[in-house]
Amino acid sequence: MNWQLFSAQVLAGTANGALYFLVASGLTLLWGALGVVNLAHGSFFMLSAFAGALCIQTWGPEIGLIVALVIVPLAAALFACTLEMTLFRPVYKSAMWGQLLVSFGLVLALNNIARLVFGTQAISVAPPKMLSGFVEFGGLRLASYQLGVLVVTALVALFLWRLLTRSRTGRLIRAAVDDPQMLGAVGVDVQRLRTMVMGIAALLAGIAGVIAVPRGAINLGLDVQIIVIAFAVIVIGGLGAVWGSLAAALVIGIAEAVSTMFLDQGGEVVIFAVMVIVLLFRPTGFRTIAGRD
Amino acid sequence: MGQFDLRRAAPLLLVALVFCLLPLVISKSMLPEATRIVVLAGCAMSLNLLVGATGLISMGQGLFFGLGAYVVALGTIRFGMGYGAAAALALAICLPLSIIVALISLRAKHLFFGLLTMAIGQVAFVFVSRNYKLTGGDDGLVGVVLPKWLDNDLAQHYFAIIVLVLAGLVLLRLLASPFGATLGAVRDNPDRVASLGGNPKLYEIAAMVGGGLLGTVFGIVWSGTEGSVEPGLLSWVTSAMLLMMVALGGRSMFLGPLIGAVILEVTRAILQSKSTNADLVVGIVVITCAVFFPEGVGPRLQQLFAGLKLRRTPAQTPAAKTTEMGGRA
Repeated sequence: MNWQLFSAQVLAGTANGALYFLVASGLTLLWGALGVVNLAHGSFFMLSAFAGALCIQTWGPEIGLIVALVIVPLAAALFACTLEMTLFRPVYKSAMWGQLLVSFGLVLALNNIARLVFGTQAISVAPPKMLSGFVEFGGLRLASYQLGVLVVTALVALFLWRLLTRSRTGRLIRAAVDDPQMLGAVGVDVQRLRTMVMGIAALLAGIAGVIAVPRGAINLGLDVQIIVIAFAVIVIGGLGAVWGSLAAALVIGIAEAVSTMFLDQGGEVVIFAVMVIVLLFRPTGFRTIAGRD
Repeated sequence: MGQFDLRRAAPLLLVALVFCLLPLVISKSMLPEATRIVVLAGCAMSLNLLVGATGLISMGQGLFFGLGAYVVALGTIRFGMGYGAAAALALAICLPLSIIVALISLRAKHLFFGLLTMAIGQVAFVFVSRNYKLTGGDDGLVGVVLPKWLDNDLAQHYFAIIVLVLAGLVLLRLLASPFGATLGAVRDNPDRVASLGGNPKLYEIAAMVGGGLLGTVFGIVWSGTEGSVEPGLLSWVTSAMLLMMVALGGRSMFLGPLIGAVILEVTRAILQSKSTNADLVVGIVVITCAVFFPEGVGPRLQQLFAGLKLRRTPAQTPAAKTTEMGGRA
């Protein structure tokens, strides 16, 4: 066993898992709390990654990344809120089918728009100097980009925790996870809450998209790839469970990265294997919300 | 439970007739597109056995579709089997596979069930698209060896229509049987089925096997009419596309998936010949249909026809009219 390689893979897996968490946590809230299934969530991630790459190409690796981290997630949130208010609202009454159709149509349309705007070539941009090296830590060489991803994700997770536990919006979201009908019955504007959660979810996907840029190879297949992984995370973590999705994302990320050491076909297969195994034992995922299945 | 008679099969036969007459109307280069629509429509109709009849939202129909296509392609290209023998082999593989998929994915319910079927399909997709030696990997396989009677566009077109009609008749017969009625009961109220002494899970498994077998059949037809296979057939995008055909056309209608397939694929075929940005328009069409007809285009069309008939027959009592309006609102 090569411990150097192993620790590097675990860190890489953790960093990947952090990205998966950012994408999946918003989606799990949106679905679990407010019953919105958004297949186009991965498209937000992909568009943000392209936009982030564009920022870096325009303003250089350092300033560009920081600018992108501020502008792109906000733009993604605004975009998602607009889509929610114009396209999703009319179809809520037909339960999940309308949402599936609308969001699948969005996947197709947004992918094509990305192809028109950014071209079919995969984009790779130079990572900022600060993040391109390694950090020596207790005899282990750790890639500083991956550490950077972890720092950003930790900050976002902290923000999410504060939001969910301390703010009124957070209390409403948690109430919606437990009992959406009751929440509507006591007079909360669930419609507005939906828009807000959609915006928060897109904000998180936007952050994930930007910090994924230095990994390179930003391509048009990302939307479909990440949404499948995000769904796997949600299923393993339990619907509507943010911290369950954190655990699930890390499990998946690490399993995926470590498996590449042993299998040359690892990667996605491992993700789905983990998903199937977890669901065989716990059909509702790590965390079960009472009354849901 | 409806009776299985000629009146119920008539719309299907009518549509088949229209497809049969298509080669007289459209240009030769468009004929393969028409054939493709027939095959995809058939596969979507077999998916509707799960979605519409049993209430199982499967996102893994592409697995069976791709299985049929790949087994035939592999059998004829790599192992020198005949088309018929390879088709039989595909069905023989599909039977145990669909039972295994059903047993795993039916552990979860509702959309989680769908995501599990999607995951299993993705495993197959990744396996096929990475395995360059056997399956040709990303490039797929070209040059399926076809029997003599199937080696021109026209024959392929009629072959696809014949299979569509046969599969449609099987589905209609199935849905009109006590088994089909129980599937509907399982969809509407599984607890009640259980309390009446039925085993809902057994019916769900049976529906999945049926849908899987028919999906495989259309996969077999696909490799016969296209002459090539690619791993995209197995991916969840294909499965989602089929599901969208069902939803778009109307899952509550027997011919709904066919309508959905025609809407999606005709749009795509027309645009693809002119530009590379067909997806954009197809996406917008899907969104527009979803916003205006969230329950599918088919039921809406049915209502329109019913409305026309109503206006033509003045003998209708006003009471009947109001219920019709009430039903529409």
